[in-house]
Amino acid sequence: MIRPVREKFPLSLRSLRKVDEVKRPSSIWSRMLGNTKFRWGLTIFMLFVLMAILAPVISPYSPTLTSFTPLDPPSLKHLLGTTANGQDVLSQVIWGTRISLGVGVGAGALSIVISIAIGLLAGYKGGLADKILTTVTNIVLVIPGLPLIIVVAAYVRATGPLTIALVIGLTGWAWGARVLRSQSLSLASRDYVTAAKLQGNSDAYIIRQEILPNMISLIVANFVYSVLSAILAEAALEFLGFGNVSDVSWGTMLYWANNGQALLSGAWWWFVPPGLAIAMVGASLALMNYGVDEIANPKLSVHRKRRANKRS
Amino acid sequence: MKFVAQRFLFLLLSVWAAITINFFLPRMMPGNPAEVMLARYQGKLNPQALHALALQFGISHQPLWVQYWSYLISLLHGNLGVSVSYYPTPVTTVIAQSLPWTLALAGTATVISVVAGTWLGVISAWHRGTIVDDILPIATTVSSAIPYFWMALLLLYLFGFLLGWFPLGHAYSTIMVPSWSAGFVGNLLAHAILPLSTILISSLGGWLMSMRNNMLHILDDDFMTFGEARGLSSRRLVYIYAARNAILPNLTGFSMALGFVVSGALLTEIVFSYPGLGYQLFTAVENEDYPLMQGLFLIIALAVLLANFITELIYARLDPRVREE
Amino acid sequence: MKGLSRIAVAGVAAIVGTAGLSACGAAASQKAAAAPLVVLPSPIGSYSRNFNPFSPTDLPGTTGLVYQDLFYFNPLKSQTYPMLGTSFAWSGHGTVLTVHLRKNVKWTNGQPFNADDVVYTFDLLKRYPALDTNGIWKVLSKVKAVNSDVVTFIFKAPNVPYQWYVLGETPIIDQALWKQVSDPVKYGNPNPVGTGPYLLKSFSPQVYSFSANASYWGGKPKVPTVEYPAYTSNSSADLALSRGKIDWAGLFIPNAQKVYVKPNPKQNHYWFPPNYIVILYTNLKNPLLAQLPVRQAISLAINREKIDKVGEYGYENPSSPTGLILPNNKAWLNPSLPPQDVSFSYNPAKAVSILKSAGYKKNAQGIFTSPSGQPLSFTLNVVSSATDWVSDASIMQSELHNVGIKLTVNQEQYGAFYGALKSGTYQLAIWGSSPGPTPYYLYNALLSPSSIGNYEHWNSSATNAALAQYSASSNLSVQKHAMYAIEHTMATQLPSIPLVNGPNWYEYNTSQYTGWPTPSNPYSNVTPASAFGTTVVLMHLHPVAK
Repeated sequence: MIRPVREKFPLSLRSLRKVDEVKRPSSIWSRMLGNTKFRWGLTIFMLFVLMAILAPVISPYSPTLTSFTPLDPPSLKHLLGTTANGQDVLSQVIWGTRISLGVGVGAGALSIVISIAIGLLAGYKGGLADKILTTVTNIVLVIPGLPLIIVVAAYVRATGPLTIALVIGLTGWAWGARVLRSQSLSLASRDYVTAAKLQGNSDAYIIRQEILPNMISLIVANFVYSVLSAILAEAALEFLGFGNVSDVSWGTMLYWANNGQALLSGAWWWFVPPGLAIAMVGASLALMNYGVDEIANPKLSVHRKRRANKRS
Repeated sequence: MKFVAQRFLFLLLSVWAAITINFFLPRMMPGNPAEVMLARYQGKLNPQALHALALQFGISHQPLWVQYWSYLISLLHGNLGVSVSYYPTPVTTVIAQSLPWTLALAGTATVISVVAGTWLGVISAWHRGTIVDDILPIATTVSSAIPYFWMALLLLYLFGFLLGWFPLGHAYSTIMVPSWSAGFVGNLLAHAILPLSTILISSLGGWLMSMRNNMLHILDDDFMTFGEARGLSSRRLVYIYAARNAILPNLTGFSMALGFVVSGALLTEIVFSYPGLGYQLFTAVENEDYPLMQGLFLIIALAVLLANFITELIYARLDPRVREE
Repeated sequence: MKGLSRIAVAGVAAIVGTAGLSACGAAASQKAAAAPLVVLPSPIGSYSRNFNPFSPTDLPGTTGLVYQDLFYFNPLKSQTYPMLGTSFAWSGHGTVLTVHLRKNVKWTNGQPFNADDVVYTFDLLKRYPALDTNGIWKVLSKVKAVNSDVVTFIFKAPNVPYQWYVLGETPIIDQALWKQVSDPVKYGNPNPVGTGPYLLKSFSPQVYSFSANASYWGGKPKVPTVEYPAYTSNSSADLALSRGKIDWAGLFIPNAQKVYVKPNPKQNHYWFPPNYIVILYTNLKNPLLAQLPVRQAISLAINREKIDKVGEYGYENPSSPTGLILPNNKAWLNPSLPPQDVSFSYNPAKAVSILKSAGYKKNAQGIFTSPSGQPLSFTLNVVSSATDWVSDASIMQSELHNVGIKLTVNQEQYGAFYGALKSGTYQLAIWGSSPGPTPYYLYNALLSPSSIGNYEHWNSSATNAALAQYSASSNLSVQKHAMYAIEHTMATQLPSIPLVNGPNWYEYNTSQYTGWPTPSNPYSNVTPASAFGTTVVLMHLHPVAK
């Protein structure tokens, strides 16, 4: 979403190629967990989820408490120092996980749901429905993302995390829809689908039993990618002040740090931790995406052995 | 030809969609430019001024569809209206002042990023299975997951503020007079390095991954095995045959990316005070300057749509299968 | 600018063939001889060539450096400087204002300045109401030149306070040149010709500069060049300021002592004198807020010291309950007011007892309810981009919660915020007030039923009478007594609740020039954003002897 360059080339693009998955979803999950990169990504991500859940327990102070010495460098009392308003940075980072992850996952989920609905409908139904939906998708796809979000966010007056999540989710589904449409188009013409149709099964049944299970890794890859884009877009919007600046999230922390001249005051402890947190969550998602990609496209995971053989 | 006509129709349709969204969205925002202008003084300005400001900005009370129609007509005449925050400067003038900066910054960054990313992708694929291919894609994947405005802040703090190696913002030193002198060009470059690096670091990964993955697919194709069997050197195979085929999607991606250049550097521009379109869009939104906001958004959308159109034509020419889809 | 676009084109020649779209004519040409004074009133990302002194978006320096007013009224103390006028007097019971003009003043194109220019200026405002931002022609009936050095302004009704708008806030333009302008509302006035101490020297979207006018009537200024560079954001501007790249700025800078003064305590200075008051507007159409005990309780429960320290970096001292901007207005303060009417006290316990004795009771949630059962629960509107006010709002939220009044903070964009404020569809709002050289202007904007700025909808015959009394008299002691009455009303009736004094931002560097206004010598408004005041400051500056 933020990076138009990558918007066109998400890591999952390659998943468009031949994907012939086994029809048992369980094996896909286990294959994903078997992938080192995916496992690492998931572990880091779950640590942040844990941090969000345990925020009231592990946070040393209230994130909005303003009673400390302003701009105190890191010390034992404040492991990550304090802000210009006298808030504890560590507590803010910990509590900020909630909104940052919540908005990211929520917006990612929203856009993947729209992607699936539109992609499946267009790809499976074909015909006029496909033409219309594809055109709409293409239009949304080429309308520049971040500028649109900024204009929309300004319009809806950014009253909180929910609006931000909605705005990001509603503008970020097009790429996924395009990829999923291609996949379901190709699946819909498979023999077993034709067979199922001939047996008189309903569309809903076929989609549920034959199409969806074969798209799981693609959906997961797109979901992970959507969450990543959403978290970055959210941070960008909040950094620009389009979020609710009284909420504590990583993006608003960066907004306040920038407004409070953290740079100028030499208060690196104020703007480094929230950015680092976003970067770590982003990296964890990127790793998961990478892993899913390798599973969906076995060619991408190159084994050392094979390479060694080739050389000799 | 039918394909071209079809794509052209799509182009027109999406241009119309962009224009329409563009027209209606800002108009649904509460307040009008006169009130916003007064409000920006946070109550310090004599509220009497409201009447005069409304007259100046010619706040329209016509029905929305009449305004929409006259908006379309004036667009056809290349008239984007008058900016409110730079009143009475026409929007086209404001855009013309900022466009070159964005093109220069984000354009250069995109070109470098594509070339370097693609090349690294080839390297990575060529060295598949080695440590290089283990580290390179992961490193760039991770680096592109970093929020790039934060990276911009970090670079600014380290190299601009602490070390003082680079200027703290702007396109060039204000004491300098734009000219072709070595001093001025050097000054421009010194100002561009940090913002350029920011965009590079965050966009390199996408190109690398896409090229690497394309390469891996092609390296496995039959004709590669065939070439290998014929005894062609591996290096020759990789660079001449595989890379040439694998680069196709990256090439079209490149032309798309150029369309996005116009909007691509928004946050970087804001952090580095770079006087480009992204910064203008941001201030236009802040000032609720509808005409400027619309003009900028339109330029950005047009650039992307045109690039997309051209990309599709090129792609269809290079890969006939697309035309049949 | 030509060179500039060429460079940009070269950089992307391969991408886009036709980027030579630059529209700016004049090149930023010759280099400054002596050290220029670098001024930054506020961050503007890039400049558009607009030197039309009537435009709301004219570039800083247009008014003041190039175009001048008749008199300058210093808001920091009761002081008036003669500019293009030399003296003025009221007659006809506050309906006729006679102004004597300065002789031997020349426009920078060499033409003489006279009364016809003044008359033409005001007639222009009459013909183009879009330019009349102070609504002068709502109260003025006629302007005429008695002779080449004397002008009289005839008002429809007694209106002494309008002398400020007429004499102090209207830039005088050159009749001969402006007669040729077809639409002065949309005119960008690229090459301004004024009577002021400076001439436009160069312009580019990134920087423009003025050079000293050798034939200025007040003598050639000692600062040869004044330069205005563009900065896109407050952050980048603050950074440049702390690096000593700016001599005179009007920027918000957090922790100024640490960030700005400490690196160079001998030369970097700041002073943020009060300029207006930040008010908690209370919509009196709301039946609960219309009750005095409720407003009193809110006011008593607010810790203004904390707002200053935590929300405002200690830059904004608590206001006076009188609504006077102190110390600027100290000449107007009624000496016999009791201390509790001169400065606020923070007393949450008293807030609770006032509500209790007015019959309010706490409900199960600990929120006071009125005798008729309505809870004291309000929404507080605040502009989201005014980050300090957002902080203030959350401080007030917790303070008021402690005494049993619930606030919901509602952050809005400018348009939405102002829409609600103006139409009266808000409950509480944090907003500024429009100040003037005497307390009258703020009071009139805030309390007069005919003022747009009366957002709380106060209407009291006593206040109206006091405002009218001031308006009709140019006698200082009559005016003072009128103001004393309003001071008392403000302090005891709380039409709206003053919070803190809003400052003018003012940073200056003494490495090149000295003679700056200071707290002990506030000879002019200090911020470079203060249009006409900038001339007064510039004429006081002189190079540091080296």
